Amino acid sequence: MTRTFAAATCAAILIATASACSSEQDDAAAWIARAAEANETADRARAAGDLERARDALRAAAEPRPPDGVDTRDARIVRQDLYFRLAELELEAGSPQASLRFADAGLALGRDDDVFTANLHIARGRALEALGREVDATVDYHEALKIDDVLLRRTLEPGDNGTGDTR
Amino acid sequence: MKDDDETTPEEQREAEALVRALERDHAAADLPEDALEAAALLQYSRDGGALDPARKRAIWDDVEKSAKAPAREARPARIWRWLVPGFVTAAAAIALLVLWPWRGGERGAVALPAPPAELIDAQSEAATGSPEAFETLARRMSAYRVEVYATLEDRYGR
Repeated sequence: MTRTFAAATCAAILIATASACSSEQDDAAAWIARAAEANETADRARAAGDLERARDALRAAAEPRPPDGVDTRDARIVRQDLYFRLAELELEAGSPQASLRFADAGLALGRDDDVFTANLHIARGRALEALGREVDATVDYHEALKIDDVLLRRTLEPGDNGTGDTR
Repeated sequence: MKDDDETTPEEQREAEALVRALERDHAAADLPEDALEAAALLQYSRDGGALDPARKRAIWDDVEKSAKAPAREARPARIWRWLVPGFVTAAAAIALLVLWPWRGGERGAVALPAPPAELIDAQSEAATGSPEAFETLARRMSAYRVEVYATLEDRYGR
């Protein structure tokens, strides 16, 4: 009787874990799809001159915490790109302070030698320049150039696709 | 002085053992051999050694009560007790093995596309602070973004 109960409990735990995995997969796919949709909405709104709508769509996708099923690196890349677009949008709207905030929010998610981190340094540099902080801006531009150097070296190395993603 | 007709306790015990032997056709351990022989002779002379059906039934009932359950009957029950939970556990483990590779980023065997050299060039130009270079970067990033999302959607199953 005890053995039967133990085996049934093990089976229940395994089944619950399997369904949790399946649920995480659905959540992750939905999150990626929402981010892609936010980019498309922002493109259309920007083309129509509706910066407010573009900003809302990007913020709604960038700010919530990603579901557990999304790989940490993928989550950072997606959110950093959304923050880069927000920083870019605020520069276009003539709000360098807001642009700087979005660039900082993106960099706070983590840094790596990839185009997403480099983009945020460039956006931050431009925002700082617009705010009259040229010296601070050069520090960010320099960070972006260092990453570009790594990326260029990687593209020349055989077997490396330049993303640092070895999967 | 003791009367010869009076029964001694030993004779009394032997007589009782003899009665039991006649009733059940088997002797107790303490029954003397001569009394046992006498009982057997008496029993045989009475009915030729045959048991009446009621007596036979009573003895059989006693035997059945005291006998252990046959081992053969216990075996199928033990097998089923292990087989059912074992089957359920195995099925759950298989389901888990099948679903585990789809868990989050663990399943991603697909690498992100490499950033094109033109994009890296545009980044280097934009890092000089040129507004035109920033426009170019935005355009090239837009094209690269489409590729990255296509890979991510593939990785996460949509």
